[in-house]
Amino acid sequence: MTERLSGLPAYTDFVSAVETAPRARTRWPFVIIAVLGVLLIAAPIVTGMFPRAVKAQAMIESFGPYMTPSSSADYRGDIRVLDGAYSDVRTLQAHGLENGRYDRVDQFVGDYPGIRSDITTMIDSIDAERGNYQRLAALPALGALPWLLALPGVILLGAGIFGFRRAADGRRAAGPRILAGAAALALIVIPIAGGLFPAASAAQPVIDGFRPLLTHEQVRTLQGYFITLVAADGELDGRYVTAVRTAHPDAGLSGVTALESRWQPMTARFAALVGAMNDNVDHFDAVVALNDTTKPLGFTAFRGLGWCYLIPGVLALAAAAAGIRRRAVSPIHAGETP
Amino acid sequence: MRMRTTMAVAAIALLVSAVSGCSSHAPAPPANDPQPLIGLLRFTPGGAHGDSVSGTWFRMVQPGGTPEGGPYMPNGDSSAQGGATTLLDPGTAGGLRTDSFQGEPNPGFASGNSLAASITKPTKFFAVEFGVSTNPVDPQTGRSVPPPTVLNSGGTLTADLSSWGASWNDQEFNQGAPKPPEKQDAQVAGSEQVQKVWDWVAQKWFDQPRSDTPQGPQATGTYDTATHAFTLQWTSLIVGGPFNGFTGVWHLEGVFEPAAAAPNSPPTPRSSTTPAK
Repeated sequence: MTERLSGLPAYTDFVSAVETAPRARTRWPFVIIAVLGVLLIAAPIVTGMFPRAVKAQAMIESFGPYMTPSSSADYRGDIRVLDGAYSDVRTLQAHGLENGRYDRVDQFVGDYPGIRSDITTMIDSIDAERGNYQRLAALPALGALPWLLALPGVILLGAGIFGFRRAADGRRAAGPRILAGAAALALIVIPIAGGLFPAASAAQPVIDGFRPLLTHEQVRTLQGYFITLVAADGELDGRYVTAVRTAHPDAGLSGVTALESRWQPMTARFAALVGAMNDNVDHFDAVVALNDTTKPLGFTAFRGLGWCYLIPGVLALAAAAAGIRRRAVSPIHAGETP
Repeated sequence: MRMRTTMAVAAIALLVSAVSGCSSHAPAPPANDPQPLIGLLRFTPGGAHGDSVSGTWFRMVQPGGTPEGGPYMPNGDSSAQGGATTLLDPGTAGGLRTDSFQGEPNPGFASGNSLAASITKPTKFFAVEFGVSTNPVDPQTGRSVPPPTVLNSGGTLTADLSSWGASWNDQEFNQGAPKPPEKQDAQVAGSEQVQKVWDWVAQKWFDQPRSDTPQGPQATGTYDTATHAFTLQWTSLIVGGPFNGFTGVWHLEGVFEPAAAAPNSPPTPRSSTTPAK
């Protein structure tokens, strides 16, 4: 091209450097960043994590008052008081000291061993899972976790798209890289600072421990216990005690008397627990469903929760850094002649 | 020509008289148009007569039962119908006020016993007193509800008692009819605001009721315009909480006192009640 043709001046006689189109910069890191962004946005939507995490948070907050050692101690104290009343009635029955027919007291005597066993098992489960529950309760608000995936995802997607376009135009893409790097760092920091890894192993035992308790059937069973107890108490407090005391002034009724004196706080506690259980059955089902969403991948969602932040974070950070490293290695810059 | 003029004058005169008639003498509503009863529904205390009950009372149906046949929760503190029925006495206000609220006091409980004493006297239910109140925001569901309204249509009453709530042992139960929606479940951030916007749009542009509008059958009853004697009854399913699935059966009976009556006037004997209208 530099040969002179027909005596015409060459182009280079007038232009010192030949203008070339800016050379496209490396684009693949931005493709990775954008794809990670899409995955982080899609994952909580596809898994239903937004509503389910909110329900999980509501459940954890609802059970807070019932997961304390003092709460369990109160329930165990209530059981001891019921034991005392049961023992009194059984003794009176054994000695034939009852005067009259008391259907509701009889039903209490017949049902109480089962009631006691069921409620004791429930309190045992609460005690057994207290530590795991506390690890879950110490997490950042669960309802915020899907947002902490999706929002960095939006940033990564935006950074990926803009970075790709700038790189394709041969322009520097420092801004998108910085944005992507910041979002990636956030994804790395969230599970570490939020304690997601230590809590990961806590969810499954809590789910397994509460699975038999948080069902509509169990709530109905407890409501049935409640009917049995209040009916018996009404009869004991009414004509039963009066009749026994009248006929046998020395009969032992200390257990029944203790039941009467503790009745109001006992029933309030029992009603509150049944209410919390009833109102959280659907929440619990949502938690189980959320935990099971990743089972086809070979792990449960709570077990892998921390990694769902960390792995995309590391990949995004590496992708953002990869562009910078390549630019530093290559002496060729867009717009420059070789 | 004269004929046309006469007809035109007559037509104008007829029109003018018709218009003036409309503006100055609105036709009285037909007798069967629903008329609100605004004032106090003064309760007659509940009473048991052998195996039957009268006056104001309450029953609680166990899950799976029916309002007519039970099984009912056996209240050991009531002797009426073997504890199946709990008799109610009027509270400090004498009964239920319509078009206004008789809210729950704050605090609402003392050792589990309800302190809501305006509508009915707190009454023992399983050894713990329960009370009744009407509140602009229902304590159980957290929903905004209208004040009690009662309409009389030719001796038949229909009532919006969606704000009727019972409180017992530190627990709140909406017992209204119609029922407000159950308590709002935990929601994703922002969805409540979206719902409010949608409610506003649906109400304004599509003439749709708000999503938290009470639904279901109203309370119904009878009204004697001569004696002002009334009855109101309804059933209300408990939704949520420890008694989820139980149903309250309420029966109110007494004498209506229009709003002109003194708010805290002493109970008027039924025989001497003078109809306000």
